[in-house]
Amino acid sequence: MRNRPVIAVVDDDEDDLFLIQEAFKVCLKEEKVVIASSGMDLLSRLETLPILPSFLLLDLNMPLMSGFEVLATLRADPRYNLMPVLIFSTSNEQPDIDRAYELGANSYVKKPSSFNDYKSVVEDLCNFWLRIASTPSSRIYQ
Amino acid sequence: MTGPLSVLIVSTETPELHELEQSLRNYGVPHRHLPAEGKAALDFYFQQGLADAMFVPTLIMLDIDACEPEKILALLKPHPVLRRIPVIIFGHGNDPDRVKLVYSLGATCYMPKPPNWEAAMAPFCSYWKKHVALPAIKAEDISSSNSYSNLSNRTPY
Repeated sequence: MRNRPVIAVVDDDEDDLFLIQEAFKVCLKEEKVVIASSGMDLLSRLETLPILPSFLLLDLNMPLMSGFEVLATLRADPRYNLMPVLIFSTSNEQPDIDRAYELGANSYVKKPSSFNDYKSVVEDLCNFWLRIASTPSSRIYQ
Repeated sequence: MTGPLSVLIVSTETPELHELEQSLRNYGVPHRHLPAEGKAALDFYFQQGLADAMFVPTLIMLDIDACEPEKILALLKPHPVLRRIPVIIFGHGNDPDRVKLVYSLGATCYMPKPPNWEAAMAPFCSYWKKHVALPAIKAEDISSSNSYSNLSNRTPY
């Protein structure tokens, strides 16, 4: 049986998670969205997934384990080091942006403030990462 | 304030390249083409760590059918500044092993060459121009980086 493609999201802010999920509902077809509320939660959820997520949306400012720490952990793990990781943050600080790329983020997406902007961002990132680019997990379902 | 999108394309002169360049022009994206067959130009551009380059990109697109991305990435990824630049590798087909190889090299993504560049570049540019914060790549940072001299001494491409 074919596995449904997966998108993973990790964010400690409940309001942001709600907006992301609602925005995904508008543009996703068959993909399943896996939500995690912390870096540790994400790592344990990844263990249970049958396929690698097509991409991960990763918040930066989280307690206990920051987005940078999650990114470094994923890049050091051969099970997950090929997974595209898109930083999704309100931070516009250039040092944060530069550090994310240095640690191996695949892109750094600016987190919007309104739901309409959320829909626009999520639609564009889905169009690029699910329809224009190929990812290591997409080979499973294409 | 993040750097504006500016694209360096490494590829051979083909009709596809012209379509890609035309699409970037249509979407107002500054870009340069570095001929993949011009080994000396590639050597100069990448081995000098872009420090002397007139055009410093914030996104690089490598044609895997025309150049050897692993050699270019081997120059970029160990460098403290240049490693920030997202590198998209594009090519014919969607072979799973090729896709896996591209990500294992540290590239940003693999992009199969689309049948219609103009149509594909609309979502491409919308994503990279509107929503992505790009790294700051300044020629003076490249020049002053400690490993610049080490980079220049690496095995020639």
